[in-house]
Amino acid sequence: MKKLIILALGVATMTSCKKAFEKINTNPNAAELASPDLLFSGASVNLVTTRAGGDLYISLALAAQTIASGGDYGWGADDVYAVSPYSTGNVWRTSYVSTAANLKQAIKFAEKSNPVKSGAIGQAKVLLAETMYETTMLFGDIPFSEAWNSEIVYPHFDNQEDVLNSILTTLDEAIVSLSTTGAEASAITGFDLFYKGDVSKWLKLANSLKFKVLMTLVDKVPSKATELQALYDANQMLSSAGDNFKMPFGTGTGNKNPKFAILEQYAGSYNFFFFANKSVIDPMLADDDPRISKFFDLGLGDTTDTYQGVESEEEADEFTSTISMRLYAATAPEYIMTYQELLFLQAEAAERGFLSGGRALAEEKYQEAILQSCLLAGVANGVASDFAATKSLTNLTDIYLQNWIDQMDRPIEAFNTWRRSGTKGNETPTLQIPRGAPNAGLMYRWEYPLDNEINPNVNAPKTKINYYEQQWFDL
Amino acid sequence: MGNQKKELMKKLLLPIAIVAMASASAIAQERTVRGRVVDASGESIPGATIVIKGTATGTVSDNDGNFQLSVPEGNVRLVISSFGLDDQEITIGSGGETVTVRMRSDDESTQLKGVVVTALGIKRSERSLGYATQQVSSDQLENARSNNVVDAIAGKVSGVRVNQQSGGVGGSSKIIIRGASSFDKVSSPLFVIDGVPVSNSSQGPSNSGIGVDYGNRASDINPDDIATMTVLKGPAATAQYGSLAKDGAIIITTKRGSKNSPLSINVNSSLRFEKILIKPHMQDQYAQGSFGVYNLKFSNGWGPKISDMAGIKVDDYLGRNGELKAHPDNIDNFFQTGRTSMNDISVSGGNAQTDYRIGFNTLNSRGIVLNQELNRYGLSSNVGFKFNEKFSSRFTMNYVNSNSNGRPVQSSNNPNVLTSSAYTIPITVDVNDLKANYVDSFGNQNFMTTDKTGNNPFWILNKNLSGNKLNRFYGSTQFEYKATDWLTFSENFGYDMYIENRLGYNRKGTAGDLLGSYLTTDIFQKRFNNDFMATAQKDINEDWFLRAMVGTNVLDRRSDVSGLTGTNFLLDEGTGVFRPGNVGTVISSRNFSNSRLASIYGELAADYKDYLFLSVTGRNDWSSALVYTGNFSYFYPSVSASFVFTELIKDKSVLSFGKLRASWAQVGSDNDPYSTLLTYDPLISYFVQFSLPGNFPFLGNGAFGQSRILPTADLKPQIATSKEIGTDLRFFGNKIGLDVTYYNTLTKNQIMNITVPASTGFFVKQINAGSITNSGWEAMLRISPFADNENSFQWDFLANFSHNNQIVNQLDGQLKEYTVQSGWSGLQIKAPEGGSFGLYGTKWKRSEGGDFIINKNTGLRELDLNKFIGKVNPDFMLGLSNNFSYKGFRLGTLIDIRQGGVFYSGTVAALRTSGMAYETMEGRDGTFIDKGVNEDASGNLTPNTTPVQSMQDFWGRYAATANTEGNVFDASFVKFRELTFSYSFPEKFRPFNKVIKGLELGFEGRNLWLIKSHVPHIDPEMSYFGAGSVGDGVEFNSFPSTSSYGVNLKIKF
Repeated sequence: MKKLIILALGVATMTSCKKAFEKINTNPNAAELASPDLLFSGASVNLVTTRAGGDLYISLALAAQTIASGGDYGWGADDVYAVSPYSTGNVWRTSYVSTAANLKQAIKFAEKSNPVKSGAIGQAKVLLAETMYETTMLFGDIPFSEAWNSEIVYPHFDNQEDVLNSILTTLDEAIVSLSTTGAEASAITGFDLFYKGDVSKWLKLANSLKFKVLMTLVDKVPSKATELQALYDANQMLSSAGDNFKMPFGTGTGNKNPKFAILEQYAGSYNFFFFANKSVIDPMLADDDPRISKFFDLGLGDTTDTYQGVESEEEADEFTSTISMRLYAATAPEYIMTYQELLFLQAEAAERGFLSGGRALAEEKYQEAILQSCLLAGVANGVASDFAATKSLTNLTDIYLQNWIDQMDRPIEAFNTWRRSGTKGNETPTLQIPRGAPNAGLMYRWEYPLDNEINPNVNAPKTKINYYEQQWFDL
Repeated sequence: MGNQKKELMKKLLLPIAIVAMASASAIAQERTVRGRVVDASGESIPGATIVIKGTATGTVSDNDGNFQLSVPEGNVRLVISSFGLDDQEITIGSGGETVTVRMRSDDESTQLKGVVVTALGIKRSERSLGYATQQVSSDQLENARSNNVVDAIAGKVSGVRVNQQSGGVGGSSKIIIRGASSFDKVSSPLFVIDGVPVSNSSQGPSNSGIGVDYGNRASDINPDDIATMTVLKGPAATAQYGSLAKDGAIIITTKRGSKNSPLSINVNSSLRFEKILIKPHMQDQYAQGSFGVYNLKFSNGWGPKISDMAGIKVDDYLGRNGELKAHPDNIDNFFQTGRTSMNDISVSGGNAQTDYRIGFNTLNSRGIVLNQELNRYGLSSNVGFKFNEKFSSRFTMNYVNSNSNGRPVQSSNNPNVLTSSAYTIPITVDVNDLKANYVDSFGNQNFMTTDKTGNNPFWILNKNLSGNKLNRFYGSTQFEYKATDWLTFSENFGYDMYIENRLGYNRKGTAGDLLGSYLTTDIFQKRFNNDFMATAQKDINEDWFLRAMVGTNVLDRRSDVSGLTGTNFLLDEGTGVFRPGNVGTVISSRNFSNSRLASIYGELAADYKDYLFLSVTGRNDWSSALVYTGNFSYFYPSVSASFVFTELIKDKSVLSFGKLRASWAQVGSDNDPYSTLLTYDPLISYFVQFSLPGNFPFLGNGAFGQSRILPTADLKPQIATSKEIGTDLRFFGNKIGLDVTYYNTLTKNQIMNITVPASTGFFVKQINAGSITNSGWEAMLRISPFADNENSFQWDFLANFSHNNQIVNQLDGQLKEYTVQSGWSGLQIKAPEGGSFGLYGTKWKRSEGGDFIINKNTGLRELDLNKFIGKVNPDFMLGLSNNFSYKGFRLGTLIDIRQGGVFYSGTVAALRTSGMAYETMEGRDGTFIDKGVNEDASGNLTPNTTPVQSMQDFWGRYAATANTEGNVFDASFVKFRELTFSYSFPEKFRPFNKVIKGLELGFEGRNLWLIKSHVPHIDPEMSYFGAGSVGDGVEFNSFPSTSSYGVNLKIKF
C-alpha cells in the first residue's frame, strides 16, 4: 500500500512538474524568433569578411595571379594550387550557412511581418544573388533550388546555367520588392552597412548585377544579349562612384579589414607577405600608370624608387614592390561591385556588339572606367583624367587588361574577368603555370570541399572535378 | 543496506543452529584453544575480546595479542572483536588448537566478505549479482598514487580503458568502459561518490579554444579518501542510475571512522620525481637551413652538415658570428625534473553513536618545464550519527581547491605549441643560451628565426601561460530510518558545485599574436541530486528471501559559462594586467544551461537458498530536455540472475566456488537541453582564417544568426540494450580465481549530430538514428598459490583481459559513414556502416599489385585522399599485476598491455619534416630511389627509376601532416605502469611504538618504462581530442608524458 501511495504521489508530482520542466528547457541563450535586420547584419558581415579574409582573398588572389607570394620569401603555397581544403570549405560554409541561410531567414521574417517588409526582402535577395553568384563562379554547379530547405537533407546540385538563371530570377524578384510602395519605409537601414537603406541604390545594384550575370551567360547563351541592351536602355544601373557597393571597415580590433589584421597579427603591420605580380605591374609600368604608387609600395630595401614585381612563385627579395598598405589599410573598404566594373562591362558589351553604339560607346565607357579606377585609387583628378584620355581603345583585350588591373585587389572579380576574356589559353593577360605547380594546367575553378558538402551529401557529384577543368560558362 | 541485514540474519541463524546441534550431540568435554590476534600487517592486537559464539564465555588477548580459551569438543565458532576493526568469526575444528586471527578494518572486510557496493550505494553480496563488477581497493589506489584518480584504474580492471590525454601536470585522462557506444558524445562512466553523481567534465585541447588541456574533474578526487571503488560495467549494473550511467559507473565510497574506536591519525606522504618518459631521438649533425644551405629563416635541421662547416663563421639567431657547433643535450636541458609531493593526514574515530573521519590533503606538483605547476588542497569529512536504534544519518563534505599554471598548448597551426617549438630548436642553438636570451634588453622577444613566425620556446614558457583556479564542494546528507525490521526508508541529498576560472594569455610580441591577447573562461557548475528510497526485505521462509525497493530521484544540473577574449594590450609590463580595461577590444560570451531529470525506479529481488538470485528493476525518467517532444516520459527495465551452482556440489576440493550470472538490461538516455527547437543565436564573432579577431558589434551593429544545428522536433530517447553472461569460478580453496564475462550492448536511436551538406544551411543535423553494437569478452584470472598460508609468503597474480568489438550497424539509412572527429589536413575519425571507428585520411596511392605509385618527375609517392587507414580501438587490453608480501615487505608490479589499433602522431610529423628526427640523417649526402612504380597517362606501370632529389623533399612529403598514412603507427604498447615496494615496520622495530601504531616506508613508481611501442619519439598513449571527445588515436604535438618515481611514508598514530 505504501508503495502504491508513493508511486501515485510520484506520478502526480511528475505531471505537475511538466510545466516546471518546460520552464527549465526554455533556452536562455538564444531566441526562437529573429528580425530581418539582425539576420541581414550577420549575413553581410560574414560574406564580406570572408571575401577579404585569408580563406578567399589570399588563396584566390595568389592562385589567380593578381598578386604574388614571392616564393619562399613571402606567403604560403596557394599560388602553386595547394589551396587548403579548409579554405574552400570555409568559403562554401560562409556562402551557404553564415550568409545565404540567414538571408533566407531574413526574407522569411520580412515576409511574415505585417505589413510585409518589402524593402528588407529586396535587400536580402540582392545580397543572396551576389552570394550565390560568387559561389557558382568559384565552384561551378552548386545546390540552389533545393538548398536551405529543412526538409531536404541532401540537396541536388543545379547546373551552372540554371544557377545563373535562378540568380537572375532572384534579382528580378528583388527589383519587384524594392519597387513596391513602402519599400523605402520597410528597408533595413542602420544594419545595412552598404547603402544604409537607400532603396534607389539597391535597385541600381540589382540591375547592375543582372548586367554582370548576363555578361557571364552571354558567351554560352547569345540570346541574352537583348536583355543587356534593355537593361542599358532602362538606365537604372550604378551611375557614379557614390553608388559603389562596398562595406566599410573600422579601426577597432575585430572590425578591421582582415587584409590588414593578418599583417598586424603576424607581421607587425608591415606587408612582408604579398608582392606585386608582373601580370599586373608590368603593363602598368609600361604605361607609366599613375595608379602604381597607389597599388604598390616600394620594397623595403629599395633606394632608387624602382617599382618591380615578380612572377607567381618567383623568389622575391627586399627590392620587390609589395601590395600597398593603402589597399591593406585597416579601414580600406571591401568593394563588391564598383561603378568602373559596370563601365568595363558596358565597354565590353558595346565592343562586342551587344549594345548599340559600337567602338565609340565602348571607348567612352572604357576611358570613363579607367578614370573612375584612378580616382578610386586616389589619383588626383587632373592626373587621372589626363591618363584616361590617353587610353584609346584599340581592341577588346585592352578592356580586359584594364579591368584585370583595376580588379587586382578583388580576385573573385578578376578571376571571372580573366576566364571570360578568351577561350582556354587565349585569356588576357596570358598567364603561365607557376614554377612548382603541377603541370596539369592553370586554375579554372576551385575544387568542391569534401568535408562540408561532397562527402555528407549523397546527391553530390562524386567524380572529382579538378581545379584545372573549366566551368560551364567558360569557353 | 538490505543485504547487510540479511547477512546479519544468516550470521545469527546459522551458528545458532550449529551450536544447538553441537550442544545436543556433545557432552561438556572441554579442550584449550590457543591463538594470537593480529592486524592486517601481522602486528599483534592487545585487548581483543574472544567469545564463544552464542555464549558468554570468553577472554581478552594479552599485550602480545595472545589468548587461550577453553572450548567444548567439536566444531566451535569464536567471535573476535576489537575497537575499530570488524568482528571476525572463525570456526575451530575438532582438532584445531592453535589459531591466528587476522583482524581487518571495516573496508577490508567488506571486500573480503564479497560484499560489493552496487548502484545507489546498496551493498550486496557479490554472489548474488547477475552482472560483472570489479573492485579497486584503497590499497591499490594509495600505492603509487596518481595525480588523477582515473589513471590509477588503468590496467586494474578488465574492460576499462584509460588514456592519459597529455602529459603536463593536471592533464586529463579519459576512461571508457566496454568501448565507445556513441558517435558524438564521449562514452564516459558516471562517477558516484557516496551516492552522489559528480561531474567528470573535461575539455581537451581540441575544444578548449586555445589548445590547452584543462584536465578532467574526476581528478579532484583525493585517492586517499577512497575506501572502496566499484566499477559497474554494464547497463544491468547501472540500470538504477539511468541514463547518466549508460556507459558504466564508478562507485566510490569514502573512508569513514569506525564506531567505538579511539582517535587515530593517519599520515600518508609521498615525494615523487618526474622525468619525460619518451625523449625524441634527435639528429645531432645538421644545422638549420634549407637543402643543405645554412639559413636563419628556418628553425629546423635541413641545413648543412656541421662538420662540413668547420672553419666557416656564420651569424646565429642573435647575430653573433661564430662557428657552428652541435648541442646534442638540448632536449635534456630543455626539460627539468618535475617534482610532486602528496601529503594526506586524516583523523578518525568514533563512539557508540558517532563515527568521524576528517582528512586534509595536499598535492604540489612542479612540471618538467618552467612555470608549470599544479597545487591542489582538499578537505574531506565524513561523519555518521546514530540518533537511536532506528534512525541514523551521515554527512559527507569535500572541498577542493586547485590552482594550476603553465598548461601547455598542444595542437597544430598555432605558434604557441610548446613541443613543436622546443623540438625544432636547431641543434646548433644551445638551449641554455636560448633560455638566457629569450628577450632582448627591451624585453622584446628574441626570435629563433629571422622570419619571426615561430616563437622562442622560452618566450612561450615565460610569457604565454594558461592556468585555472578551481573551487569545488561536493558532499551528501543521508538519513536512514528503519521503520520495522523489514522496512527501511533512506534519503540521500547530494550536491556538487564548482567554480573554475581559467586564464590564458599571450603577451604582446608573441608571433601569431603580436598585439597580445588573453582569454578567461569562468565556469560555474551545480548539480543537486536527491534519492528517496523505501526498501522492504524479508525472509519468507527458510528458502526464500525477498526484497522490494522503490525510489525517486531528481537530478538538476545547471551551468553558467562566461568567456572573455581581450585583444591588444594597452599596458604590457611586469606580470601583466588581464582585465577588460587593459585591452583594445573585448569579446565576451555567456552560456547558461539547465536540465532536470526526474525518475521513479524500483527493484524486486528474490534469493532462493542463498544460491539462486533473481532481480528485476525498472526505471521511468522524465527529462526536461525532451519536454517539448512526445517522449517526455520513458521507461526501461532490467533483469539479472545469479546461480551459485557449487552449492549443489558436494566435493569442493577442486572447484570451491562456482557461479553463473546472466542479465538483460535497457537504459534510456536523453539529450542536451534546448536542442529540440530551432533557435537564433546572438552573434559575438565571425570567423576569419588564421585566427584573426572578428567580432560583433561590427561598426556598432549587432547580429543574429540561425543556429547551425538543425534540430529534430520529435526526438526519442536513446536506448541501450545489453545482454551479459558470466561466470565466477574459484579453484582449490580460492587459490585460483577465474571470472569471465561476455557482453553485447546495442545502442539504438542514437541522438547524434551528423554533418549535413552545408547547402542545407546547417552544419549538422540532430538525428535519432544509428546503432552501435559493442560486444566483447572480459576475463580476470587470479592466482594466489599461498592463499591458505596466512602468515608468511604471499603471492597474488592478477590478469585482467578485455576484448571489445565495436560495430556500427547503421547510421541514418542513407549515410554510409559518419565523421566522429576531424583533425587537420583531411585526418578524420569516422564511423563507417558495418565497421568500427576508424582513422581516415591521406594514404599512399598503390597499384592493384600493392606497389607505391611514384611520381615520375619528383620520385615522390603519390597520394590518395580520404582513405581508411586503420581502426582506432585496440584489439585487446591486458593488465598483469603481481603482488608479493612477506612479513612486512610488499612488492607490487603492474604491466599494462594494449594490442592493436592505429595511432597518428603530429609530433613525429613535425620532427621528421623539420629534419630534426634521428632517422632524417640517413641518405642526406646523396639521392635515393623509392621502391614503387610510375604510372603513365594510360595507366601503364613501370618500375620507378626517378630518385628523390633530397631527403628534405622525401621527409617533407613522407611525414607532412597532410599525409596521414606517413605518420600513422601501430598503437600497441606494453607499459610498466606501476612498481611499489614497501616495508611495514613491526612493532619491535618501530620508533615510539607507544605512539606510533603503524609505520610503512615505500618506494613507488608510475609509468616507469615503455617496454614496447611502435611509435618513435613519443608515448603512444597521448590523444589530442581530449577526455571529453569520442575521438582517439590522434596526437597533435602533445606535451610529453612523464615517468615518476619516489618515496612514500605512511604513519598511523
